Amino acid sequence: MKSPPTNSDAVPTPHQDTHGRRWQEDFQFTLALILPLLVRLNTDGQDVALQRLALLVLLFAVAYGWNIVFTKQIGKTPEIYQFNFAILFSLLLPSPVGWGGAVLAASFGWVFGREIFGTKTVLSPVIIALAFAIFSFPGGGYEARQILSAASDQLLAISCLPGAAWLLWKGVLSWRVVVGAMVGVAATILLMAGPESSWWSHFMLGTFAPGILFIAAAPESMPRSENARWVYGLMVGALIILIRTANPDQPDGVVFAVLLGSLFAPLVDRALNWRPRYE
Amino acid sequence: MAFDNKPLLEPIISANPVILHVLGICSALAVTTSLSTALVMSVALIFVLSFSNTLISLIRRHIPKTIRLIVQITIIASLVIVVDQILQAYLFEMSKRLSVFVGLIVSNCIVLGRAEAFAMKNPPLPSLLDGIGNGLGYAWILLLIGALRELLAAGTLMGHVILPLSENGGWFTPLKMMALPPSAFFLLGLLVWVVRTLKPEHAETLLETENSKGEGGEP
Repeated sequence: MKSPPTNSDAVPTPHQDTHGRRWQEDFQFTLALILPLLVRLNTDGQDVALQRLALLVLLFAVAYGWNIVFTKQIGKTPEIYQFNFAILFSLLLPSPVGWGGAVLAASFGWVFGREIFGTKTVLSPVIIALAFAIFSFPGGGYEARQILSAASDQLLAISCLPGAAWLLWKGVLSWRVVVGAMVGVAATILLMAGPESSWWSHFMLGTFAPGILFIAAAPESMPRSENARWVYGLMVGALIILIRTANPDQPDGVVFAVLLGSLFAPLVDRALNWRPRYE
Repeated sequence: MAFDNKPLLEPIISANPVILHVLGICSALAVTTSLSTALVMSVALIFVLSFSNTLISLIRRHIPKTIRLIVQITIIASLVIVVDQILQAYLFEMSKRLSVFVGLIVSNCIVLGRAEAFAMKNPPLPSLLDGIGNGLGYAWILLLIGALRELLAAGTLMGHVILPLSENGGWFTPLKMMALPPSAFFLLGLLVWVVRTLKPEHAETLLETENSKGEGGEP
């Protein structure tokens, strides 16, 4: 601590640390993402896998390019965070969106989520980019493809676990958000469908595992204080089930749930850690 | 007296009501789904604004200070009713698409703002020019955003196909998001950003609070 906190940061401002994050954390994140990426490439088949890899490189170039445009430093060293953005987005992005659409969505997410608002953003760039893709290209296969087959979804979910466990143990991800989201999912299903429902099946469905572990529980989208992380996790979990059951066009729902949850993150922070700002 | 064109030209860019004062954006966001609605809305606003400014300026010395807002709103509302009736009579389809937003010109901040800030203090001719100028300033932004949204969401302009859609055998994949209200926010924000980059004097002075806190870290 360099200086005593003033009144204005009685509650720590959320998401301040995305720029100042240590590169080690970002690098561990990259390592954790490798296994899910390999699994996804394996289920893709050769042609789609090559496209997905090319898309990954392209998205990295997009993020790096915008970073150079905004910082005006030609020849700047790329950040690992940009690489993680590219991996996550290409992992969760369906191929039917196409090259132009993917570049547009990635530019939108990166510029609005990272460059314009910088450290003050409450949303992860990946979530903004994915939401842009879903809104802009509805029926283009995003949601329809998200839940491909139970088997490949399960494989993807399981492949996320080792890396995520490592990150959770290292404290890069918040276990409170993960547990909260799982409790939220289970509780909402039990409330809506009764005790005989198979609530556990939703953990393996769609992008629940990569979405919750690598986006919702990552530092840039979750609240700052630890009690608020519980509320945030519960809210995201409950929202996923509400979207999945209420909207047949959104069988996945993870992106919108995390989007809404992240938007509420600063409010939850403030509400749970309320104290008068002026004494 | 030499002809003073400042009230006419200034509001178009350098004192634009939408991008500098950020007034009237509710209707700017609501009616810009297509170029034609934006065009009709712009014409309606220019009409209302120029006449209300002129009429209020003509009677500005006779309006009692205490009830001036009521008098201004009465004049504006009468003009809006005229516009609404004309639209319903001659452009019924368009008036249905614009729905309540023509009626809501009454509460458009630009109209009341110019009446209060300009017409109450200036003679009729400059007031008329100010009304037209502010109307044009509002109009070009509406037309720009309307054209972009219609082009990107449907590949058309005024209903004519410009970019053939891929679902009809063309090459253009439409951005469905542009048909939704948030996209107008993004476009307007980007437009304000561009204008403020080109004209830095538009930007408000930033308070030096957030950046002086030093490095962030885990709490």
